[in-house]
Amino acid sequence: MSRPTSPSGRRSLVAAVVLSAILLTALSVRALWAPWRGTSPPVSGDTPRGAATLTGGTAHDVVTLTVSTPVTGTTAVNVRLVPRDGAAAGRSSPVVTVSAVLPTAGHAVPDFTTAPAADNRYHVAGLPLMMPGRWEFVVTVEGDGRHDRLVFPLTIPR
Amino acid sequence: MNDTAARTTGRDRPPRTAHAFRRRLGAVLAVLPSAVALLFVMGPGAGADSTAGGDVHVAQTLGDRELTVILRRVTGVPGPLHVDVITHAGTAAGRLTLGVTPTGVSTSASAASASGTTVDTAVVTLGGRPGTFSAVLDVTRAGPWELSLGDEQRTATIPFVVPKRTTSPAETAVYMGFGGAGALVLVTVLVAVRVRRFWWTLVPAGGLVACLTVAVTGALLSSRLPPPPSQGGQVDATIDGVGDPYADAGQQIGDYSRPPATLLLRSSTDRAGEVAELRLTLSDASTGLPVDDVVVHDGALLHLLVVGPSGQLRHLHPVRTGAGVFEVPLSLPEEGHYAVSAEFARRGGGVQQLRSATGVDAVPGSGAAARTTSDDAPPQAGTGTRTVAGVDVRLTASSLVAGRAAVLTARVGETATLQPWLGMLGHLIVVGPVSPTAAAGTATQGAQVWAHSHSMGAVPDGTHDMSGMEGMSHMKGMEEHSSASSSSLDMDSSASSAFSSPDLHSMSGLTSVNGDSTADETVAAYGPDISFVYTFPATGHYRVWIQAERDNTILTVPYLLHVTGASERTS
Ligand SMILES: [Cu+2]
Repeated sequence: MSRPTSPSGRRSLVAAVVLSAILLTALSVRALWAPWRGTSPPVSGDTPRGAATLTGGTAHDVVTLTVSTPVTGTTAVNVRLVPRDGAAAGRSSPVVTVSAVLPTAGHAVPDFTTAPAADNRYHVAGLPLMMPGRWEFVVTVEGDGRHDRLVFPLTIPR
Repeated sequence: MNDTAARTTGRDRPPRTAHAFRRRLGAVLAVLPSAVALLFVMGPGAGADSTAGGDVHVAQTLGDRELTVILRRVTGVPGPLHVDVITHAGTAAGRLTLGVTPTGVSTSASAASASGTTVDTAVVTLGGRPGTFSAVLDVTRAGPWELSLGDEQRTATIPFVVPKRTTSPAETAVYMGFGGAGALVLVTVLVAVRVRRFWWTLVPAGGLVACLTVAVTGALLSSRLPPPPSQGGQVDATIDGVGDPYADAGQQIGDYSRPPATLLLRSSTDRAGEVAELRLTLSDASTGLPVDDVVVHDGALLHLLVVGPSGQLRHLHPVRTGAGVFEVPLSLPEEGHYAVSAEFARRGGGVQQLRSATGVDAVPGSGAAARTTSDDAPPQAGTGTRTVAGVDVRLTASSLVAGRAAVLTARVGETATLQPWLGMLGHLIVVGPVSPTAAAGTATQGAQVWAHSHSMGAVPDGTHDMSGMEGMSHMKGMEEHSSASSSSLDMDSSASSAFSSPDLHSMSGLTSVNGDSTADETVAAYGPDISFVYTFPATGHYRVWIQAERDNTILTVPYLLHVTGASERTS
């Protein structure tokens, strides 16, 4: 019954079909499993491995919050302010405080007044996160004509 | 790609017998209809979009204006946000300044670069007559936003979320599975008619089955998987969370509720005859921190009920002016005590009603406007007819026995021209038990019951057996309702589409078909009967107010009802 055909053409056909089937199946399975995979916070250049970096803003500043170890325990927190009106030459630096709240549990940590560093960076050495959950990191910027309060929601997964 | 591969393979093929061709084609054609049938069966069921938001209706008492602000659904970003401001009878003409500010945070610095800055503004000029005044603002991205609304004195901010149309993982699997299956059907056909050995066909057919399996599994799962928590409604909204709520879902815990709040009330003045600026501060009962997660509930961020010294009810909607801070002016026409109660909901669920522990005590003022006694006669106990703003309101009650469901039906005017206010056809406010002769403000301050019930019209929904009730006149109400709605004035397009179905009318006055938008106040097509079912918990006298909107006027009708004990013993 069989007649001579082109084996290379047939092989490429089979390969293409099998590949596309595998690809489609794999993609679908991946999509289905997405919600059950843990999401890890992305790592940006100059931050420690595993740190969570969130950017928000007020009318005065772009505020970047970096939580060094976003898991339960004590973590260092860094805040960077980038004034929207350009370089703050000759301006006194504002008082920046950082706190954290777990609203569903009604937990709050004390206000930590940051230590200012160069380049509009502010640092807290040890902020305690008691339990996992959807935390809110609250950054307040006061002084120098500012009275801003900014909330950074961040999930502490474990 | 698949088709190309198949075509190039088949190009140098010698001709075959018609018999073999027909046999293979027949086999494939036998598979095809079932696959196509599956596509049709499974396809539509898998389209639930959990994050599709509707219009947001927010009542705002801005200065002396009672406004309803409607944020129409944003259908794409960047794109327009349509804002409608609805005014009522007596609303002063003037200018409002609107602005939109993105507020969210993101792991992407560029996505959040505009957060905190107002990116667009508009001016709405309110006319002297009641109506809808619109503005269009441009929103640039999905995520949390704030709409600011300012008159000359103060600026209100309304948080809202610009949603992103997202697809659940299960739906993605369905689409990809069916897409792949569709492509593989073509491949299977091509392979079947071109190749010599039939078993080659099994390769694409196997892929087809795999794709269909994925699609069907996805379709079955999509209805069972819990939706991710609502961004802004259940959990704090972020730019990333709105962009991909499924990735942000984390562990599904189900309970997102937050602690209760405490209410601090400060009044700028306590002199009768003046207008007090009330400042309400909400703080978390666990942490004491500002409660800045109040969500829109029953068409407002905060509902404030104030009962004056002689029983006048004010239902106001203070504007948000800061984190956990709400402000509203309250005129103090007479000296005496004003009892104040606030209703609101925090993110995560749960409505709270907080009565100010202090209320406002107005002392005699220097102004001539101050009255020491009320002109209003104290209401006579019982149901009956009252005339408010030229509208006759007749209240009937089935029975007023403590512990038994009472049906209160008010006929407001004689025509079916009631307008929904705060998403409801009628509001019933119950305060008691109180001494019928004591000053209302003082008595209500200490009353054990403050209740707030809603009416969706005279026609009950199907879950209640209303057969034994008297005085409801369902059929009459329904007929009037339907005929009036077809000829109602001022219908906006979304509402008219939602209300054109007669079936819908007979079920419930105010349910939208697709969940996208409910009728707003521009639809004057309801009533005139509005019914409330309320079980008075204890015997005694109750101060009761019925509120409904008609002719762009919010009517507040006071009653004093006596609730008796059960006349017969129940087991
Ligand atoms: Cu209200």
